[in-house]
This record gives sequence, structure tokens and C-alpha cells, in this order.
Amino acid sequence: MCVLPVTLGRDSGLAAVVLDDSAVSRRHARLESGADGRLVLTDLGSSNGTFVNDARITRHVIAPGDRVRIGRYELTWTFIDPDRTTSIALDQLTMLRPVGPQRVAARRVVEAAEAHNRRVGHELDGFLSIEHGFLPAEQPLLAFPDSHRAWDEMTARLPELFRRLTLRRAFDAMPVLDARPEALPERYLLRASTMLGVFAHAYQYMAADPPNALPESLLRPWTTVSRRLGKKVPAVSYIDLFFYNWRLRDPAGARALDNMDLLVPTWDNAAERVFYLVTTEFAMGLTPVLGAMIEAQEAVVADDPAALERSLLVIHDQLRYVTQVVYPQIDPNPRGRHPLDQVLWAKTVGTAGVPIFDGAPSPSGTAQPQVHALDAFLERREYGSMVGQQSTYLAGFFPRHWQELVAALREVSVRQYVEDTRDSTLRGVYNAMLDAYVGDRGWMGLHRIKAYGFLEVAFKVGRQVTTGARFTGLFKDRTWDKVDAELATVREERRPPVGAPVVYGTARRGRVVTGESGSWTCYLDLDVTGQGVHHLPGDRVGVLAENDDELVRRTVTALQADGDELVPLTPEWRAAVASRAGYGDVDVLPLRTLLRFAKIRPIGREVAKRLIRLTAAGAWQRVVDARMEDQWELWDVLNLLYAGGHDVTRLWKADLHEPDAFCRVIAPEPFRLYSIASAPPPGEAATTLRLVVAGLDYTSARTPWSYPRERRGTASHFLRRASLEGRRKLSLRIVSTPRFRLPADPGRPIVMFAAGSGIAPFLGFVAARTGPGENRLYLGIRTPEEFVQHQELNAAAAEGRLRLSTAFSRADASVTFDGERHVVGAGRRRRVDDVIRAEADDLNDLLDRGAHVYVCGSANFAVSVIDALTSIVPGDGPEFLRRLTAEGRLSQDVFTTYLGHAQQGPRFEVSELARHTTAEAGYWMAIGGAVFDVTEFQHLHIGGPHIVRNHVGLDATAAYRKVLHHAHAEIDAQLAMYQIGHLRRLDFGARWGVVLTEEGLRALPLEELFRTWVRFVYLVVGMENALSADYGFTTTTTTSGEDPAELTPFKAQYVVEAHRRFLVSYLDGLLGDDLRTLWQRTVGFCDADRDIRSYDADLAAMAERPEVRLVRNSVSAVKDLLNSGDDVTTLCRTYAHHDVRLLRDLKAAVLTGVQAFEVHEGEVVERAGATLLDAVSAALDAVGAYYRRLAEQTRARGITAEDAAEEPIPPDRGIPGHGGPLPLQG
Amino acid sequence: MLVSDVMTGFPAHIRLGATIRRAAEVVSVSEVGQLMVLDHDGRFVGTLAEEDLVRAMLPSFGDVTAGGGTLTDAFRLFLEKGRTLADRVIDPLVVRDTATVRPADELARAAIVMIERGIRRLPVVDDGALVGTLSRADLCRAVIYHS
Repeated sequence: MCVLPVTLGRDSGLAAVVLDDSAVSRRHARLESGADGRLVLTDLGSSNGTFVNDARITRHVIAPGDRVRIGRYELTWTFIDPDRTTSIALDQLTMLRPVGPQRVAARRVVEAAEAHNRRVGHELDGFLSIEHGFLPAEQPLLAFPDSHRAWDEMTARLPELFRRLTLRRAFDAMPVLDARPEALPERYLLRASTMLGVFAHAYQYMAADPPNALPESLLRPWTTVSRRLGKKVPAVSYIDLFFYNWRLRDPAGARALDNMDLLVPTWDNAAERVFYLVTTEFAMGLTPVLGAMIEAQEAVVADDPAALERSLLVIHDQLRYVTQVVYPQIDPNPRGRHPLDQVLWAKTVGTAGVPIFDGAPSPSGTAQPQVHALDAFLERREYGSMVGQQSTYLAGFFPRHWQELVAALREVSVRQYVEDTRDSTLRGVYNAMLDAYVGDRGWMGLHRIKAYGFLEVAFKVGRQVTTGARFTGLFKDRTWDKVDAELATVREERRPPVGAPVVYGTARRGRVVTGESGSWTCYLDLDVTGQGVHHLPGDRVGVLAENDDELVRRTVTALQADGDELVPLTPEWRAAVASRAGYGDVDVLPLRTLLRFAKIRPIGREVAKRLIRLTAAGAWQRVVDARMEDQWELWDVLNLLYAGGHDVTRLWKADLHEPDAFCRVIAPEPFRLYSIASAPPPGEAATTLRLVVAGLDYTSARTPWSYPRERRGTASHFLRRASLEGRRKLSLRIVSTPRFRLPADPGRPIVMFAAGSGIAPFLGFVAARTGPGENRLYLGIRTPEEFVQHQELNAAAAEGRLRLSTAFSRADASVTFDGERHVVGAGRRRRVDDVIRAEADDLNDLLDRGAHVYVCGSANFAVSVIDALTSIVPGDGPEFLRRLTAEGRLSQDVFTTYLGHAQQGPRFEVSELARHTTAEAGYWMAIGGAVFDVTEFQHLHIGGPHIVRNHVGLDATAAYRKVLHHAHAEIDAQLAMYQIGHLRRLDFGARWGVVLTEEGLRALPLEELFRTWVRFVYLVVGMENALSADYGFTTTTTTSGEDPAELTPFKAQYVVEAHRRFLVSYLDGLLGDDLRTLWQRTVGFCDADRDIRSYDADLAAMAERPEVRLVRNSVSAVKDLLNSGDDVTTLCRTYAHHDVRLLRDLKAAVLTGVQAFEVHEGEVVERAGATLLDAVSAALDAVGAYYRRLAEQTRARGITAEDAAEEPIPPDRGIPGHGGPLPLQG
Repeated sequence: MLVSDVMTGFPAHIRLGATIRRAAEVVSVSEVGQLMVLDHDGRFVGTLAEEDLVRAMLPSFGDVTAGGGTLTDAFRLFLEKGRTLADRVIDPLVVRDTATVRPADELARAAIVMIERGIRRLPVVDDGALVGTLSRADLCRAVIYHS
């Protein structure tokens, strides 16, 4: 009890009631009795405010029941009324001592760390504070004392020293400075550590060949500094590179990329700056997560679900912010604000951190303290994967405060609390937070896709020091796939969501609007109150649909079952069923229920192929060969298979371990995505999700492989039923769309283009856009009957915030706004692209003012809008749109209107595809049998043009799937915008031949011989793409201050290295392995009298030719010339030119053969056998000519290298980031 | 129905130590693809498949390259190898750990092992003595045709 008036605050000398919290000011608030005897609370100008019932107050009369909050303290108080208790004097009004929540272990660690760092005056035991998280509380020092000026001076010279390859000489000449405590005080240690680490790595990795040892001028002080920091082996740490390697341009400005520079840049190129500083900003963006994790744990201890929800939301929002705003600043788009060229990255930054000494820790991503803190908070227990082990290993090198914090964060289980309370809001928020961390579109998911893109590009251009990852292996080893598989495994080591990762919504009665053509649209609201759904305008919601009774009945009949049979579930199916409202973890389901949840229409390609393997029905094989399976539904196919003699009952009779068990053949229905057409108030949970669902009804095609029948879309009809019934409980998943966001600046204008149900996200946009920015909406729609009044649009138009232009494509009508609502009147039929052209000036004005443009509709609609925009903007239209995209001002939300393959367009040959790999010919690629022209798309690809160009001219299906693009409907649909046709399937009948292989005589289908040719072409094309990217490096700015056109010695050494790799890794593999197989097989089919060994003999003879020996043995001589300062630029340019040319020649030679297959198909051997064999010979001849040309140029440069031997390939050094090659001496 | 009801008695057989030429002769005369093999005491030891005879004649990659290196050479070597093999004994080609049935076994039992292991003709063995064989044709005849 205390007596009024009373002061509350942090300082025990100034306040009567002490609140121990850094968020509380020293004198924070005062409590006193007011004029009328009531209790008055006054804020004393505190920094973080005083709150009554969650509203910030300056002066407030408080009444019984009011909640008072200061900092993290919720104050409980009792007011003893003096009028009723005469025994207590008026001035003895009392209140109870405020009760703060219990301080959890993690808070005690942070407070102790803050106090310790303050006391000792440095942060060597680890940066740790609530305010700055894992970053230093004091900004990194900018200079050494005069005694160590030599180091500071060296910093500015690094780029030039790199460029000229003179860096080692400069460091060899640098004085050896004293780094012992008497010469270098503690406060300079971190700067010394960063700088010496960067220097040492620069010395190590400047040239392609590592030095024998570090010079004394680096090794001695670096070792001393490392020991003083408690590191046994000198190594560059995460702190060195990212947490203590930045400075603010404007010290009072934001801690963001735009306001930061590197403290110790190495090359000082764009890749280095962006990659390092974004990582730094990322850590800065995560700072609030530390406090929020601690508050969440304290909320658990205090049993306060509301406080827990708030803290979890802070974590969720920050994770979303860093992954969707900070991380994408690493932008491979060359037109982006901070472009980062992946090849430049790979050749410089990508390997710079690989440890120099054996057993030293690396500054890899697994050394991020935030990851370890979050993993501890989320109770990750498994670290068995390779990345997991590396992670544990690296955490062992953490400074003391970090180690203590990570351990302390494991002491309170937020997860258990969320599980126990069974509170749907908490569960929703917890799972959303977890998804923002490890989900496909969360931090770890995004990282995996981005890393895949970077690593693929990096390995294809031969990461230099790579510690291996089998860069010495052949081109086709696909190391990046192995690294990617690791990243996938490690995500699974983190703990799964609490309960099923879904939220439940209840359908309200909706409205179905039918147009005159019979097409319909359903407007449906889902009630998600209390589910903790936090989403932004533009996000999508995934819906788990159910099949209708009619389809289920039909399928049960086709399965010759009665529907009550119990069918066992696979783990995949069990997880899917657990996501359904009302179903827990079940092992079996009645067949009828299973069919309601199964993806049984249309038949997907994987299922179609599985059915081929299980049955011998030729009819079905022919359907699948023609890629017409999507014209069929499961019951259809079952009837077809039964007619072909297959026992269809096996599907439900088979045991789970058998390959024909239902759950092994048929997948569960996936989440179907719809744009959310509503917007919750900012920062609040949504109570309603509105959907606009376009009905899908179509007739399958009449073709030799399918028959006409009315078909329905599963999801749209399911939602229609739900809207008619109301009250149905739906399983939902919120899917965020970081690339479809409103501008951060509410004053920017936005222009929206929608067709049909594509209006959905824009209803949410308009509702959320209450700021000063203009909103323009162009809506394409067929007839006036389909035009629907939207309250949001009417309200926005009435307030002058929105202008709507509607284009009716099948009626002479138009829409005007009468001051209250939009009304349909007379007009002329037109399409949205007509309107765009008509209002070109208006649109250009909006674009000039920085408008963001959004397109939502079918692929065809998106193409028409983009084409129209391209034609009206000033200057180079495509270039304008590329820039718009790079600036994040053009966003597309494209959906496929299902048409099936019956409408497929032109057919293309593999030989045509393979030729489209240059700017002149255009760039094509094949995915899933379809052909795409990606010439323009490469400039728009979020992952940058390198990844696209890596896959042009070949079948990119595997790469496309690897990054889950096919599983993300929004990405997959966008692809349709660039489709130009399909690859033609050749018909070889059942032709076969005999071939002699190392395994003996074999019978081989002719089709397999063709595939061997195609695989070879794709391999050569892949190499051509990779090599073009590799040599493209010669025109980038690799060090600051250089002319990108100059082939500097630094760049030239990479050309020599790439050339050596071309000879060893590409060419030897191609000739010794792939072309040889092609030859062996082709000879078997085409010429029984040809000696199989003649190929090997030709190859061996070629290797002995003097020009070949000269070319291969002279590479090290060229490297030596380069290192000693001689000019070998011309020869390097010759290498680059002729290497690429050889691949093109090889491709052209082999394509002659492929074309023979395309022309003659089944008769190719009889009619064009000689052409095939000649094609292989021509390929070998091309290689011979290549060696002759290069030898001539080499001799012309005066290099003979008669006695030189070919340089041996260094041994494989394992996965990157796992320790380097040098043993530490002494 | 039992194995003994439908099996073929007096199966085509050959003894260990016989030449491959003799085996080829028995195969061509009996028109049976799988010969039963007996030891010198007349006890069942295994089977010899015509498939293995043919396989033994196929030249390996090394054979072909040593003999000219063309596919035509491979075809010629096939014939030559056949001639060379003719005088060798069958013993190395005999499959000894072959599945057998007893005369008193149920037919279905035999059918299952034949389908699962891809066996065309099963030896019927009673206490070490070969008493007959059961072929897929025997099964079809007895169970379907005569039903």
C-alpha cells in the first residue's frame, strides 16, 4: 500500500513504485486524487506511454475495472473510497503494489548482458540488447588510432589491387603491426577482426590458385586478435562480415540498405555491397523479434493469452517484413534498384567466406544468431542433417551472451501453452508465425528457392574456391541439387505447426450471378472470427474443396464397390485428412468419404502415368502419350481400364504397402487458391474473407483420345454449394502474395485491370486504400447482367477515391457513377485493351506520377493488357514495362481458365527448340511438353535473367518443378502468357535394334535411341547457356572504379579458369562419355560393319595431335604469364569466343541427326542411317577444328609449352563452408 | 486338385556330365524349354533352361572387340561360340536352387510360386526323386479348359 500522490517509474530514487523494465521511463506516471476525490492517472512525458484500457493517455480519470498498463506491467489496483471508510483519512487513499509478470530466463540473460557490456565498455562477449538485438549497441568504429593507420589505408586500395592482381605483393610489403593488448586496446578489437579477416580472405582468394601461406603482416596480428576474442583458429565470423561491417551514411538516418556502406569492402562491387548489407539490414529488421520472444514467454508464464497473441504477431509481422521487404532487395534483375548479378556474386562474394584454415567455422547462414534464437524459441530438437550439424557446430563458436540466450529461450514452452489452451486464435497466429518462418513462402522457403537459383548459377560458372561441391566433377553432376536437398531436409527438422496448419471458416449464404451465356460467378463470405487470421490486401486463401455426391457415386460405381469399404491412408493422406474440419488423425476412411476428398478430376499427369504402370491397357497409354489425360475423370478412366481387362477393385482392396493401393495412386485434393476480396482494418484480425468465384463448366473435347462430355470444376462448384447451403465449415489456408502488394506510400496512384472474377483482389485494395492516392479500376466483363454492385466500390467512388471504367465485351453498354452507385447505361461494346488505348494520355499521366499497376485475370487477358500498355507508353514499350516490373510497380495475378489440351496450338520440334538460345534467334524453353517463348519474360523473371537463360533451348521441366513453381498456381498460370505451342511427339512404333555396349549386346527401342540424341543436345545446350553466362562475366563491373569493357587481369584469370574447366569438365565428359554412348548406340542401329572402337581410336588419335597437346598444356603457362603481369587479353578473348563457338558447332552437328529423326521417324535407320553416323563424325570434326584454331592463336602469342604438362585437377574439397584446405601452422 | 492330378509324367531330363550338344538335342526333340537335371544316382539336382544355353552363346563386349569390333563380328561370334560350347558339359549352366513342388501339393500353391517367381515349368519331386513336371500349360488345361 502506498499513499497518494504516488510516482511510478524505473528509478528507485525518483519513483515510489518501481517498475523494472527498460521500456519504463525513470519518472513515468503519477497517480493522485482529483478535485472530486476520484483517482487520476497522469503520464509524465514518458517515452513509451501510459495506457488505460489499451489507449494511450496523458491524463485520465480511472474507474474501478480499468486496466492500467505501463511498459510490460499491467497494474492491478484497489481504490479504497474514503467516503465509506471513515476510519481512513482522505490522504490515505491506497493502491496495491503493481504486480509485473515474472521475468523469464531469457530476459534475465539479456538484462545481464546489457549491464555487463555497459560495465566493461565493450561488447566482446556478444552484442545483445532489447533495443539492438544481436547487433552492436554502439555503431562500428570508423578508424584505428594512428599506430594502426596502415590497416585503414589498405582498405581503400583493395579494389584496385584486385583488379590488377597485385594484392598479394601489396600485403607482402605491408608492415607487421602489433595487435597485442598493450598496442591495440579492447575497443578496437572488433574492427581489427573484421578488417584482418577480410584482408586475409582477399589474400587467399584473389587469384585462382591459393597462396602457400598467409604473409606475416596478416597472419600474426590476425592470430593475435582472434585469440584475444577467444577464437582458437583465425576465421572470418558472421559478426565480422555482417554485424560489424557497416556504417550509416547519415548517422541519424534509417538503418537500411540505402543509408549504409560497407566498412571494409573488398571488391566494392554491387554484388558485395547488396549481399552483405542486406544481410545486415535483415538482422536489424529482426531486432524486435528478440523482445517479442521474451514477452511471449512472459505472457505464457503469466497465463495471458491476449499478450501472447500480441507478441506472436510482432514476430510474425517482423518475419514477414524481413522476408518480403528486406530480403528481396537482393534482386537479380539488372534493372532493379539494387541489382545483384548472380555470376558476379559467384565469382567474388559467393566464395569469399570459405574458411582458410582447416576446422575453422564459416560465416555461413547457419551462423545467424537469430536463427538459433528462433529455433530455440520454437523448440527445434533435431539437428541430424548435414546443415543441422553444421549449425550446431557453428553455434559452439558463439560469444557467451548468445550461447546463454539460446539456452535460456528453451526454458519456456510457448508451443505447449498454445497446444494446451486449444485457443483457435492463438493457434492460428502461432501457425501463421511458424509459416512465416519455415513455410514455402516464409523465410526458409524463400531462402531455399533463392539459394537454389544462386547456387545453380554459381556452380555452372564454376565456383572458384568452392571447397568443392564437386566442381571438379563433370558438368552434369548437378551439385546444386544436392545442396538444395539438404536445405529441404533441414526445414523438416523444425517442429510442425500446432494442430493442422489450417484455419476454419464458416460459409455464409452467398449470391450467384448468372450471365446469359450460362456462365456464373459466386460471391461468398466466409466467417473467420476468432481464427487469428491476419492478412494483407492482395493475399490469397486456399480452400480445401470436396467432390460432389454425384461424382463420388459415379466413381464408387466405377470401382465396383458400395462405398462403405474401409481404405487405409498413407502419411500424406493422413495429414491431408487431418486438415479437414471434423477429422482428426485417422488411419482409414470409408471409400465414399475418401473420394469426397480425393483429386479425381481432371486426371493429373502423374496419376495418369501411375495408372499406366499399374495396368496394361494400351488405350490409356495412347491417351497419355497424346497428353490428353486431362480430358478424363477418374471414373471415366476406371471404366476404360476395366474394359481393357484391369481389375479396378484392386485400388481399394490392395494393402497400403502395395503400389496399387488407392492412396498411393490418387492424391488428396490440394488447396485451391482464391484472391481475398476483402480487407481487415490495418493490424486487426479478419472476421470475414470474401471470395469471388468464377464457375467452371466445360465440355471435354471430341478427339481420337477423348470424348465430349459436360465437366465441372470441383472447387467452384463446391463453393457454390457452400454459398447456397450456408453454415458449412471450410478448411482454409492463408497464402501471402508478396509480389502483389499495395504501394507503401498511400499517396501513390494505383491502376488496376481486372477481367471477370479478377476483380476480387481489387475489392480488397479499394477497401484498404483510404489514403490520398488515386485509384483507377478497369473492369472487363461480358454483359450487364454480370455487373454486380459492390458496396466498397460505390463508397470509394462517392468519396472521390475511385474511378471505375467498365468495358462490356458482349453488350453495347457502359457504367457511370450517379453520385451514389454505379449504374449501367447505354454505351458501346469494347474490351479493356480498347479502353487502355482510348485513355492513353490519362494512363501515361498516372504512370508519370509513379502509379503502381496491377493486372488480375486470365493469361489471355493479362497478355492483352500488357500488349496494350506496351503500345501506349512513351518510347521503347517493352523496356518501359521491364523497368516498371523491376521497380515493383507492375504486378500480375494470373489464373488459368481451364481449357484442356484439346485447344493446343502449333507443334514444334526439338531441333527448333534447341536453336532458340540467342538474342538473335530468341529464347525458348520447354516445360511439361509445352513450348514457351521467354525472350521477353527473362527480363521480368523475379529470379533474374541468368536462371531463365540457363534453361533456354532445352527441357526445363525438372528445374521448374525443383523450385516448386508448378505447385504454385499463381506462378504456373503466369507461364501460360508465354506459351506458343507444344513439342511434337515422334512416332517410332515398336521399332528396335541391337546395340553393343560394355554390358554386352542389348536390344534397344528406337525411341530410346532418339532420346539419347535429345539428351545429348540438351546437355550441349545447357553447357552453351552456362558458358555464355560464364564469359558474360567479362563485361561486368567487378571492382569499383573499373571500365566494364576492359578485360582486367582479375577478370582474365577467370576466363583462363573457365577455359580450363571447359576443357576438363565439359569437353572431356562430352566426348569420353556422352558422345561415345551416342555413337555406340547409333552404330548398332545403323552400321553392323563399323568397328565400335573406331570412335575411341579417333579420340585417342586426336589427343595425340600436337595442336591438341598445345592447347591443353598451355593453360598453365598462360596463367603464369597473367600472374606475372603480362598481357594475355587477346588470347583470353579468343578462349571465350571459341569455347562458345565449339558448343554451337557441336549442337549444329548433332541437330542434323535429330532432324533426320524428325523427318523419318520410324524409318530413320533405313532412310537416314548414314546421316546419323555422319552427324557424330561431324561433331568430332568440329572438336578437331576447334583445337586447330586455338593452337594457331596460342602459337601466335608465342606460347609453345612443349615441355609443359596438363595441370592436374585439384581434389574435391566437400560441401562449401565446411572448412578450408590450409592447415594452421604453429 | 493336387499337383499329381495334372502334372506331366516322364519329363524331359538330362544327367550331369552330359554335353551341351546333347542338351540342345533334348530341347529340340522334346520341345520343352526347361530340362530337368538328374545326378549320377538319378536324383533330382536342378534345371537347365534353354534361355541359359542361348545366353551362354552371346558374346561379351570384350569378346566382340577382340574379334573385330563390329556388330557383324558379334553375330558371327555368336555362331562360333555355339559350336565351341557344344562339346562342353552342362554342369556350370545348371540352376540348382530351384523351387519344386510335391505331388501331393495343392495346385494353387504351385500356381502362386510360378507366377510370383516367373517360373514356366516346376519340377515335381517326391523325396528327392523326380516324378514329373508342372507347366503353366498343365495348369491352364486342368483348371480352365477341363472345368
